[in-house]
Amino acid sequence: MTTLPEMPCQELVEVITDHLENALVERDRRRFEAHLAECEACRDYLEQFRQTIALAGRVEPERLPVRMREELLTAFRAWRDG
Amino acid sequence: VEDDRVERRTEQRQRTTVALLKRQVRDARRQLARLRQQQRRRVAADNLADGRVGCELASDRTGAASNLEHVRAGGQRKIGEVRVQERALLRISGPRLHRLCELLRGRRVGLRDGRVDVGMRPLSPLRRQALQAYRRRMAVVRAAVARLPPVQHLVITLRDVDGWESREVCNALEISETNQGVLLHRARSRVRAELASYLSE
Repeated sequence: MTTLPEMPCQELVEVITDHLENALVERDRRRFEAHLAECEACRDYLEQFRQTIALAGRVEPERLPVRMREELLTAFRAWRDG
Repeated sequence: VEDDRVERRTEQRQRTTVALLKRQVRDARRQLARLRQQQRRRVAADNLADGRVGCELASDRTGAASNLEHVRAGGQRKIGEVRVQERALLRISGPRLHRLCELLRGRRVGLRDGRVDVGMRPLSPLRRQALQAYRRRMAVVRAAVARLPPVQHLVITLRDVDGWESREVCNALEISETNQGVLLHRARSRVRAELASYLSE
């Protein structure tokens, strides 16, 4: 069995969203988990990320007025087309 | 070539607008369904003698039947801690239910003399403190999301606030999965950083 290259903290931080979206390839997922098992700071980081997502999920959509949504969409279109 | 490009952009814009309109219609329908559900709840809360509240607070038909049976047999059976019901309520989902759960968290909900009895025990100081801390964290996240650059704001709003699937966001905004992932990651990272900064204070 070949040893997988270690995943540094910086890389873990960069792929954390992919991990949470189950979008990591098997090899990277194993590297991610191996790193996590060894690194408390990254475990904390992941936990904070999860907490952030959970809290964002409790922000009520009604708090975003329609006008703001329209502005966001306009800004988005300008960004995408520009 | 230029004409083709302009035409493609116009088509893209039209598709985005259509997607937005469809979404607004869907949101309106969801809101209507939520309001109807709320109304049903209110009606049930006003008329408890037949145990309908037991049904309302159950997560599925089996649970509802079980609650109803207990309520009819005992008359004053406590439905349980809100913690347990919260799971059931959240399964029905909806932001108003989140708020309801927040209001009820830490309290008991029960039946007494055929009426719903909420808050039979006041919140313990520890619970109250936890609730306040939670609200402060929520405020930090809400403010952090609002401060994001518009594009990141839009993506995190659709994904994490509104609960869209990745594919839905990509389709509506006509961006690739990779692009969406990058925007979402940046948005979440910023919000996380603000939350971490607040928590370390």
